[in-house]
Amino acid sequence: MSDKKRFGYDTDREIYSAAKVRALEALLIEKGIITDKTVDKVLDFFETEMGPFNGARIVARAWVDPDFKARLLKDATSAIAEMKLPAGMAGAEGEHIKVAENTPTVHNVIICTLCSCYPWPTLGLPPYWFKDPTFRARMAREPRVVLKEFGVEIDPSVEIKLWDSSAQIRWMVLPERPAGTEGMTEEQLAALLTPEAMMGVAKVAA
Amino acid sequence: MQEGYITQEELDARTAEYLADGNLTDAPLPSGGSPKIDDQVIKYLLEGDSPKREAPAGPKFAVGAKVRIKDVPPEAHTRLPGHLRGKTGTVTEVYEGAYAYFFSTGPDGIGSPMPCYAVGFEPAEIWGKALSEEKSTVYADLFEVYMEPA
Repeated sequence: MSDKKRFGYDTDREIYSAAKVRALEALLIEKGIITDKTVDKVLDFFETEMGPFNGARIVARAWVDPDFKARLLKDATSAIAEMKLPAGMAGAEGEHIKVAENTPTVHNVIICTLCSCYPWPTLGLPPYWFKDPTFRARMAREPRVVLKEFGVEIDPSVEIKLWDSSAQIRWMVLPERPAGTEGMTEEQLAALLTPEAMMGVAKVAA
Repeated sequence: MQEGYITQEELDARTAEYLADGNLTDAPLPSGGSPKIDDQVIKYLLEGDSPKREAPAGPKFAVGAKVRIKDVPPEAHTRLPGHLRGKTGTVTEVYEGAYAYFFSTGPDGIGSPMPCYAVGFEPAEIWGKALSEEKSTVYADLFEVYMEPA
């Protein structure tokens, strides 16, 4: 059976979506609702100001500074504000952030089963698959199976905690610091981090 | 569209034009617009729009409380996941203050400031034992109006 028959979508849906997005942008510019620069300005903001590079610095700091880590787990929004990060760390979708710490006995995963809630200032915009209804449904019900598909095998002795962002808190994961990184600087540690590790669908490799 | 900014017809017509054109990467866009709009967009990104408010009344539930999740009338913007309706969980955190939602969801019940909680659920309670994985917990952040004592 073809994918089209099975799932009921057109195989040229990508090109159709691209045309529709462009049409939408054109109409909104013509009507004066956005400008010809709005989309580029927003994209640029997420490439330079708000993104996973901030989350990486926060995690690296928590790895090297136990007092900071304690403050981060207690009140992430205040702890993040201590750091010299770009302005806007408590801006859009980052007003109230919580951090879940991975340990040898607990593995955390963030999801949003209703839509795509995500901490924009520290992780940027969510990847497209985070919003996929199938991913959302399956991660809620069979996290071990889905994590295995991501290449992450969680030992049966480790508890999985799923954090569903269904109200006004935005969640991120503090991954475990990998072995063999003892001599690394904070900057080198930050370079090891990926958005996936801070969502709980990847481990950090040294 | 619901707000009347654009119509389905003009979006369909323009999409068809871009599709017929073929080369989307180089397809031209209109120009112009007030820079004030972009300033406002960036201001929102920088400052956010916190829904946190003073709590009008103290939280009804404490950490450790057993709660049953209500099955309120479904509305488009509900913040109550379908799989939690009718299920029983345990409050694991009471968030400080109260949280508004950006508009009223009517009979669904959120909008005005109210306490929010993290509630933990056993997977077997949600999916049944046969469909659940061992050793995992589902935590959901929930508005108080969705909860009642179990």
